[in-house]
Amino acid sequence: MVMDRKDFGCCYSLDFSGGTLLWNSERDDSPPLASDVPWVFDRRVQQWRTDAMYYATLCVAIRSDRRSIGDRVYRWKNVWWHRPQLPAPRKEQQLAVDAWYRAGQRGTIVMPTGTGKTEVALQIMLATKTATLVVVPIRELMHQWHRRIMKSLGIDAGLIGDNLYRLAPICVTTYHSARIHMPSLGNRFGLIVFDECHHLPARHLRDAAVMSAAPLRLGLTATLNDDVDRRMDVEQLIGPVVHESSVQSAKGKTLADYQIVRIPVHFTPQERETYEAFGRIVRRYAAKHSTTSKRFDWKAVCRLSNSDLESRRILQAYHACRDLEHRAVEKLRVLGELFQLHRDEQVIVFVGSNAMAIDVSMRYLVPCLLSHSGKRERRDVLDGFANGTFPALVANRVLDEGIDLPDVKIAVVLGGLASTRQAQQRLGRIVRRSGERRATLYEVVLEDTQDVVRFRRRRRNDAYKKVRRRNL
Amino acid sequence: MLTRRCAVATYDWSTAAVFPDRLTQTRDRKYRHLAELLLQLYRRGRGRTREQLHRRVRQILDHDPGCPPRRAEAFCKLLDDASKFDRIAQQAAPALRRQVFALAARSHPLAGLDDSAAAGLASSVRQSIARKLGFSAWHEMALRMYADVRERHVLKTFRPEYRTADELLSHYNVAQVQAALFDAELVTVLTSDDLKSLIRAVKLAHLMHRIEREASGRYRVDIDGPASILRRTSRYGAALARIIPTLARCRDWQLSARLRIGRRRSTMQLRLSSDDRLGHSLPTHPEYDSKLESQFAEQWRSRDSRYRLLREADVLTRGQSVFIPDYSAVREDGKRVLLEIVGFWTEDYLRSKSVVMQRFREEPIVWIVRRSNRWVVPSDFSWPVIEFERQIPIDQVFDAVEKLVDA
Repeated sequence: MVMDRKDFGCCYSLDFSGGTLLWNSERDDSPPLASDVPWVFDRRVQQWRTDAMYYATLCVAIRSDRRSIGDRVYRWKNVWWHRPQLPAPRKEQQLAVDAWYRAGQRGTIVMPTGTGKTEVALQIMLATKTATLVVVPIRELMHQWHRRIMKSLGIDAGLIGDNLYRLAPICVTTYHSARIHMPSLGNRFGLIVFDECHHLPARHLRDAAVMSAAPLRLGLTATLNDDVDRRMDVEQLIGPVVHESSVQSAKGKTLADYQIVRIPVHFTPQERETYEAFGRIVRRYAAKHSTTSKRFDWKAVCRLSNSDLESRRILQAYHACRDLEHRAVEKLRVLGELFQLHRDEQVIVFVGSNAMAIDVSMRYLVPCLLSHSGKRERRDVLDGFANGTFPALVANRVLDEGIDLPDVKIAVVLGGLASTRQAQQRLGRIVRRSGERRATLYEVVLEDTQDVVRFRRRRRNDAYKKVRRRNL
Repeated sequence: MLTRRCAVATYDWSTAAVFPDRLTQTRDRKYRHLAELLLQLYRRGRGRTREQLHRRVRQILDHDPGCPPRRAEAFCKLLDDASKFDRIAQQAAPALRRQVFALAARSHPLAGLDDSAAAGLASSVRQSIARKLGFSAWHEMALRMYADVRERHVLKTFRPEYRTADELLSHYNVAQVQAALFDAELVTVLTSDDLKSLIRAVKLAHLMHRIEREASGRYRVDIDGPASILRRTSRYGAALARIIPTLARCRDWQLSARLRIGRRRSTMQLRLSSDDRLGHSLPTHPEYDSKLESQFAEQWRSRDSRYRLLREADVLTRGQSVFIPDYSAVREDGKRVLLEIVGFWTEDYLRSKSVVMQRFREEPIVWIVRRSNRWVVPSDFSWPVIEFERQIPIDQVFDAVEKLVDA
């Protein structure tokens, strides 16, 4: 029986304290309820303590316990949607929502980018009618969610992060801010939504889930972790995978048809000379050390660079190589030709460094989004891009995940990581289905450099297989 | 505070000890000169960009071939923190860009620069945009377009709390200890003095403490956070680092911190004490909170020599609430009586004092209360309460102590 302690004078109570739960027993020293919850006796306060994420389990235990237990944990309230304007879910989305309910309102939904994960979350928020915290990886997504909630559910959601702290029953925050503020936010939301939840298992972000008492949990991702341990961790923190659909099954149906075109380019003779000079320094060092020590790796060089002058020089040479690869003149030139080729269409350009983003922006006078672009500028640029004012948009990593850019069918990748996830997410930006137009992703690759290696690595994913691929 | 990226430390894996980077006056003598150059650079650096300043900092520190790049980063961060950069140019940049890109969109794409006809066209488009926006030449506008990118911020003023090179170095040493503590799970402080400021800092940082008295008479304070008991976590590292400046100003303490280092999360120890003279050029805490207290201490010393008057020497704890009475009067035979003065304070403070009196009402304490604040004393209070108007009646206090000490 759940009763308010103040009214009924309960002898046992459950409190929320800095992202943890405290079990307080005034009558005896009996151990707390729910034996499967890992309680620890805290001598600092003479009470039993456990992580807030076990609150859902404890609620079940409280209901079946005969003692009168005061539950002073939850401080969230129900939410009433005044003017929700959410279109009816598509079949695939409805399946996902149903699966989440069947799993006891806890779990992860895996859907490819562009198939409407956000709508699924909004449908669930609409149905659960409880205070909700949405956790997203980057600030731009935070503002995007805010706009989506405003448009579909008619509520001005609170924002925590990006130098803002506006707490409201419906709130959006970033993983980093969630981790920092969860000790004070943990008991204010009944539902917690983790967007792009593959980020969650990172050691320094887990607290965003561990310190939250929200019993209802929803994870959304397009790319589940490859690592088994990390998958298990997501399962423990959010819930099992309740619905999964693959890119291949969605292609051409809910996603646009797409092709990937590889454009090989070369260094100018001058660039090649500098590149080789730096490259020789790195290779000589690597060759010397890998013969003397089997455990030689880049991490060792980075570690050593703090104390060892030679390692420092190697690292500088290595970074100089990377910089040359990212900012090659030929890449800039090819981009101009692609702009010409698609002069009537909008193009997104992905680059490998902020410096290159500014290079492209200054050369072709097109807007670029950097990680430190202000909130207003981001909105202006994205709105301007959406309404066709700007013909192209350049970004380093800001656009990698989750940002909606409707109707863009052409993307050019000038540089980036070897990560398959980044490649998949970047591809996701252009494959939202609109009409019958086919999407094209250009990969501009510098021949005879590490760029080729990175290109090959990121091809190793599902989305890149069985896809029309061409070399120019 | 520094960021993790600027942290420099050496590790002794055989003893599992961490040594945060420390610039000493003897071994690192040359840094005094380098620090002076750094201060001059920033003092005269008005109008230079962050990138230029940082490049120069690195060049200056290159005079020491053993200077790790992170140390240079750390100095950049400390100097930047004391600087103000031109906000006006930064704020104007996004609007300027928006105008430029909107105007340029009409002639998109400005492509084919190797083709001379197209290049001429592109350059005339640029010039005309610049002129439309009120600039005489394109390159002038180009400089301002990305003035808000961090590296391109322009220095406006530099007002550090340190004035001399020594103080900057001392500031650096404290900052490196703080940065090392980002990985801390638990901090243990041994001290007999200044416990009050320490506990105050702990509370301000939203941390938790356990206080125990050791056989030596010193107090052992374990500091960590609420979730520390559930799992080993360094999430309170930054909060723990926040108590270091306070500690550095205190007298007679020893600190040991348990850190988790690296990918393998190996357990390491960081040890420090007041003998390390960390941050010795930082200002120290005033010894007394008020003139009233210092006057009382003087009067007491001139009145009697059988009792030694120790300031804030005893700690009373009830769970997480701590009460450190102002004085402990210790007689020659070691028997002691606690004294607390409630003087001129705000009403909120007095209310909290009243709560403290209730909570610690079992403890034998002589309360010395200003007459107008008499209401803070509970009506059925069993310990002596001495009232005063302007000056504390030292004889009355003394009698009360005499009675209580043998009771």
